Amino acid sequence: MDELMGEMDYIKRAKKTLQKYEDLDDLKNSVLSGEYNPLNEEIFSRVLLWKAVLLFNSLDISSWSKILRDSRNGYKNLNQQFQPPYHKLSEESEYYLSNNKNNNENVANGSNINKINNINKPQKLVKNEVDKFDNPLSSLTNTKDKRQFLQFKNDLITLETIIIDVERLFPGITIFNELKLKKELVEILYVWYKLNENIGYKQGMHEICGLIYLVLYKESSMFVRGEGNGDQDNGDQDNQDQNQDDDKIIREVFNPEYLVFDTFQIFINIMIYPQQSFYIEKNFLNCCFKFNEDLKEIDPNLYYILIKKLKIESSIWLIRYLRLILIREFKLNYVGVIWDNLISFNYDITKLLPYIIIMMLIKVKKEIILECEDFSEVLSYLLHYPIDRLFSEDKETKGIIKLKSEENGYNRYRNSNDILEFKIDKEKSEKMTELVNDSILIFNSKQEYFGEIGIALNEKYNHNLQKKINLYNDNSVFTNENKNRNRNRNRNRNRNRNRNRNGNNKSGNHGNHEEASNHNNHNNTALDDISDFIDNLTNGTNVNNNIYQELSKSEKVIKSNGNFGNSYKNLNQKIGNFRLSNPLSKSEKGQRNGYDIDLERVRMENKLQKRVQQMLKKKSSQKSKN
Amino acid sequence: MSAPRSSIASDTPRFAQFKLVLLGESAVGKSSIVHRFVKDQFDEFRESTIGAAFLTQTVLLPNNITIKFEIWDTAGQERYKSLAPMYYRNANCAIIVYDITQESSLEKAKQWVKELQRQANQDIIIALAGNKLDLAESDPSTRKIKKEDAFTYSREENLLFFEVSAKTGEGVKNIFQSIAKKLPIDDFKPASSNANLRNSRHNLGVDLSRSSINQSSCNC
Repeated sequence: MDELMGEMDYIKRAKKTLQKYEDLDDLKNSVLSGEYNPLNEEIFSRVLLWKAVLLFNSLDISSWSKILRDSRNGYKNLNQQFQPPYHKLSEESEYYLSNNKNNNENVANGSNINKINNINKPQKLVKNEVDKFDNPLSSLTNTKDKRQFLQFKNDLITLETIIIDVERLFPGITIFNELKLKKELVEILYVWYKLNENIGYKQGMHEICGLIYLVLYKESSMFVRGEGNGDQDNGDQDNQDQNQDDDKIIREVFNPEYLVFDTFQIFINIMIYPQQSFYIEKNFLNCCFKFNEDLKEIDPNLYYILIKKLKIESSIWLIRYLRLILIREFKLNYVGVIWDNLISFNYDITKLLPYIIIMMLIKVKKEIILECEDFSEVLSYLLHYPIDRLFSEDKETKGIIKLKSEENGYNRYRNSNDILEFKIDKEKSEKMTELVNDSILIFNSKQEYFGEIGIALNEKYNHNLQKKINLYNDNSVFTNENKNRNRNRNRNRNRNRNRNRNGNNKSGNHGNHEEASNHNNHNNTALDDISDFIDNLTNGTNVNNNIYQELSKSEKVIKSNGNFGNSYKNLNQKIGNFRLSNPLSKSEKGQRNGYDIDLERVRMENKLQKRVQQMLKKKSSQKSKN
Repeated sequence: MSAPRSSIASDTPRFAQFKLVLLGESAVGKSSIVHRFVKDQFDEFRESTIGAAFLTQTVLLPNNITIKFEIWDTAGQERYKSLAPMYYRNANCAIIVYDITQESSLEKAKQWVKELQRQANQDIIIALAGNKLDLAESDPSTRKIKKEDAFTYSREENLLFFEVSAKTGEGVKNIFQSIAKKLPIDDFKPASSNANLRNSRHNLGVDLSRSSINQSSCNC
């Protein structure tokens, strides 16, 4: 009964979707605008959306039957053509099939009893077939034989790798415990590998494939298994009522008999860009490089903290974000939403994804800056992205928010029923749409406006943060000690500022003395920070006239106040080098938007001057002691 | 603020942070070992690690020495040629894990040992750990790698050696404790100021270039 209800419900939804939206772009736009989402229970069908976009590439239902037929037949043939070498596996493996057994029969009977017996035992996968042939290459003289051997070895190793991964796919979601399904997924990935041997199977692909299956399964399992009428021609039954005809096609779209076939086709289509950009190592590293460059433009502050100061190599954490297309960073129900958006995006998603990630960083900037103390905390934070922070407003941070690795990391699959429901919350869904839209905004803009957009986005999401600490005046925000220091410094700064306003800027002895004693022990750190900062500048692309002038001004100040020993010398040298490598260019002035430059200049000025002042005060306090 | 000081020099609280990397074939139980160590938990099913996981755990040694491990738990399917070195670069210690019920996993472990000996820090401390001891204990026929063989190999290569079970917890803590004891004690800084806590990473692991400045800033 439930099944029938579900089936009718989704047929209704599909029909409403087809009626409401003129064409595929219309549907895609309504996804991106946040209108077509799971909360819209009257009309939303993820299967319909994903198949319309990734299978049919059309909302014209009359074209669907043929596409379904072709695509399903296509996979059927490929699957037969590229049967995994199960017979080469260890006989102890539950995937093992001896050569003379009929494969299909075995897959169909793939007994769950076997599975239950095996549940606590390790998978015995390796028969050492490959090892037995250890160094056979030397004995194989014929190049064709060699090639065949290598091919065989590669196939077997890949099969074993795929099995190991599929065995550990979505632990906790019970449907993935069935051997029959696991084998089917293994075969999808194996076919994919055979079609893309230049890339090869890599960890992570299994989870993308698994998610697609899960999404299709969720709705299709409501449907009664069809008689496998994919081979029949549904298109030419002119005499039938159009309505009934549509019903039939929609039933065929959801037909659970072809779940795996359609999973394959959607997997192929989703992977087109990621397999190139993320799964080929060289390209992946290029993506990381580009990510850094973009982050530097959009949020120089985050860039400085993550990459320059803490020296966190982006590739370390980006690999999972990118290769899994965010599957592990969000709870699965929201991954569904973000994927709805991604597939509705008309261009290469691997170009959009990095901006989504930058937006994710901007949204937790407050936590990164105020709550993380060092390299390891920031990295832990990135590897356990605090998804709930994504949805929170820019409120004053209340106390310390503990890292929620339990929720976001290892125990995510415990409550599998929720995940299968793909339930979402209205507010959170809106935030998700907003996240994607912000990212598309960046994607659509010219690189030269990234800085401006970054400022606007920070204004939007981190308004209070900017008020809370003057980030650009102190990059040492990573220890309690430094936070205290920062507080003191701000206090003094404000005091000095007031004094300056009163035209009394030369006699701030009391304040200076207090500050100097605070910094008594940190002169080296201060020098070090300036030197870091200049490094940062030197590597930056945002070099402009103002900064150059600021630098030489600071240089003069330092010079006129004597020598601080070797550190100072090094610093001086750096300034010199910077000057040499960045000769004054008049054309640079005014080339960029004023808003952008001003803010940048203010940051740099403040920073340099503060550092220089610290050194001077330190020196004066030393003098007074002597 | 500062930790209590003892009049005996050797009991002065000392703190150091070290980078530890776990390597080994896929599904031998690297993440499970880390989770047993860090959270004292075990999950029968664990999703595969993509890239690397990162956790920290503190170990207390006698004589008031505190060691914080920065643990890099890498993906077993490390075929990434230029990514793998990123994880073991500047590592002070490594645990190479194999599965005593999987013959091929020791071979893979030996490859990792070779690679580390060639590419990693000269004085890196390497421990070899055979996991899934619980399986071999409940059914001796599942054991595919003799303890003596792995032990002999470890001795030849000058590795620490353990057989452990992430599932029961047997031997897991011992790996980390033993590594901690072997780490160079001379590098330890007195734990008398937060600055050392902050700087220790620079001194001992990731960024050696800044160590001179950090040392001179010590104000104890």
